[in-house]
Amino acid sequence: MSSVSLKDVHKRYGKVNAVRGISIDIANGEFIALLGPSGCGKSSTMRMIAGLEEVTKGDILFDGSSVIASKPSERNVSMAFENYALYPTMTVYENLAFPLRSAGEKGLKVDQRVREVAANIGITELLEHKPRKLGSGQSQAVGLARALIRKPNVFLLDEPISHLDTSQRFQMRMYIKRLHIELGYTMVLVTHDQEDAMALADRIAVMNEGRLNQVASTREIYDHPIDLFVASFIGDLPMNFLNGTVLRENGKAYVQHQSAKLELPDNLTSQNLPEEVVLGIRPYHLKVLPARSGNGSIPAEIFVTESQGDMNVVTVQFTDVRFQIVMPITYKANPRTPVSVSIDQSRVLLFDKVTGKAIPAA
Amino acid sequence: MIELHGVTKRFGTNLAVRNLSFKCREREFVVIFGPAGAGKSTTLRMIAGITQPTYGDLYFCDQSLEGVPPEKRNFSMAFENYVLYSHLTNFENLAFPLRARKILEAEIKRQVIKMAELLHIEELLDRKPGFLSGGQRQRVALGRCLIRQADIYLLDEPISHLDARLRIQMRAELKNICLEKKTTVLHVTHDYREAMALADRVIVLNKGRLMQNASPEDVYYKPANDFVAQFVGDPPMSFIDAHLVSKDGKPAFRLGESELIIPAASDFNAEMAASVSGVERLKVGLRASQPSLSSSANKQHNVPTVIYLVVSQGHRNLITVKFGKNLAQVITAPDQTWKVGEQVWLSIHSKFLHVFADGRAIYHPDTQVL
Repeated sequence: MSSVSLKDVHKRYGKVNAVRGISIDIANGEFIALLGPSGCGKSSTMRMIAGLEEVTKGDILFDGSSVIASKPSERNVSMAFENYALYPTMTVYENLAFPLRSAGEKGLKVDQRVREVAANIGITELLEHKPRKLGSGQSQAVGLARALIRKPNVFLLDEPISHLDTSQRFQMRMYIKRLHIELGYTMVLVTHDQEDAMALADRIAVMNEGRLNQVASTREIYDHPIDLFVASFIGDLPMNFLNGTVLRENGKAYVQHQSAKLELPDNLTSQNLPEEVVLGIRPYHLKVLPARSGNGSIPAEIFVTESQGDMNVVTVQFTDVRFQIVMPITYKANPRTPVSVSIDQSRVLLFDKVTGKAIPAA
Repeated sequence: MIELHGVTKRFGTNLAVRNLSFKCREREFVVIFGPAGAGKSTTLRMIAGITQPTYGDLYFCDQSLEGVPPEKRNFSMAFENYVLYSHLTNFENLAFPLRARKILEAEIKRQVIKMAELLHIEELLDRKPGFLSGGQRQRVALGRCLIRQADIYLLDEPISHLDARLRIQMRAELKNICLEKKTTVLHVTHDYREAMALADRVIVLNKGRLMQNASPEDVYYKPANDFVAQFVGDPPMSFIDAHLVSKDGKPAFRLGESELIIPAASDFNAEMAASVSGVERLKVGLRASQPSLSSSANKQHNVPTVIYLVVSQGHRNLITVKFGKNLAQVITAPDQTWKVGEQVWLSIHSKFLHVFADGRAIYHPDTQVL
């Protein structure tokens, strides 16, 4: 396995600038996710790492050596796709042996490697089966095994589990993560699903419109998103946003939006604040209280409540703004009930409305 | 309002729906929920009249729907591949069901704009469907379905093509629209969060069969079988193989191949014990929010386990622990973390255990306790 470095990588398709200057250093054995919406350039980036696309500008290095002049086969990169087709006329064993035999390997060495990978992946009992006898989870496992058979420098996963249903995805996520723990490959996951990225990766590289917005650990990306885009993209429930202007009164600072006034914590109040801001707060950092609770809470009205089994997601409305708030499963309220909303000030995030960038707290 | 009685649908040798019976009352929001291939869309299409059942009967307000073509059933549909009129603008597509009722132009415009605003497609009204993304087209189709006045609304994965943020917003919007219209809805989804959020009642299907017909709370806290238990909830319920034994004259469970004995809950009665004695596949189930972990053993945390996996979800961590051949999921605060391979002690309390025999639920903990 290798470390991978991207140095100011660009990719242009005709007039379209798909990737605009991406630089990342991926450590040997690291699991990194390229996360972003469709069209953000993540797949193009991955294809350039694999060598399936040429770099328009910039460099890609494996273990410090440039690989941009190398063919995909020379780079020893493996890819696992969403619909990694297995050869239907071959057994699982033969499917796994195929990449080795194609590379000129023969005999006992092939057999040993196939059995080794099958044992690592946990599919030894499937070796004599044909693909049509496999369940979708088993097919995916065989696909992963086949990708790993030649001991790649880098293992690339392109949306490998997004089409599976919830419980299958849960199993496969555990599986892929354990694979990384046990085998230690350098892994690059491309996905539009923030849950997959958060669950699997050591670090996440959030991309949008060909650019890299933030590369950081899952903890850092969740707690300290660098801009509005990252803040809105990460989190099982979307972050709540409020556009407003900064108002200073009696030594305190507020974000004002129409009749609503939200107090800012001291560590933001002390900062130089632009006039137009966006306040961000996660649904887990708000509470619904009875109406007229005072104490800085905002008067609001219930819009809908949605059960999620282990919690309730309550949507409230104040002025023209809707916030989602996570409440315990025991909380019940009808639409249009007047309530108050309290905010955990320590979790408030503030962004410059014009630049979109997070305003750092003191 | 709608009743299915012994409905079966066969395609060639494939039994897509098997002996399905359920009722949907007026103004109920019923969600038909299950994995891909469960027979959910087939069921909806039979209700719509697009597909005919092989056996069984469908009734609307106690009248048989046999021989009644789709256009004579006053049901409004939003199906995944529901075609929009490509020669009309999106405005006209939304207005279409209203024009048929000879409503005044000004009122049509008001209703179309209102629906478009709710679905965040008001800027697309002048365009034609061919120039829209999948998610935008899906919202136009949903809008056209909901704008119509119908007895029942049949929705097949109506928001599945939207990105996560928009999907959650539209889910709340859909719930509100249906509450305001006081409509009867049959909604198909494979997403359990969507099912839980929207439903008054959930029909859980798997491989064409009815798994459970209950409220979202019951489906979550009292799953009828192990399929429902592991398909509903994030993470799925953890199962541990168990053997029924006796401790101090009372029923108890020996976990897996270990010597660990957990006494059954106090309301696990003799009748339940009798129904599980001699059962081959007995297991206990645990939801991830109940157990907790401790770095050192104590009275509460007495099951030694090893950290198998630590997964971050942002607002919490999901820790998988292993003991013997069993894996159990535990939810912890986001700052609580351990290294893979580290030993930790797990608390398993009898009052939190669900009991399943041959896949069927025998006992559920009291929800007050949870």
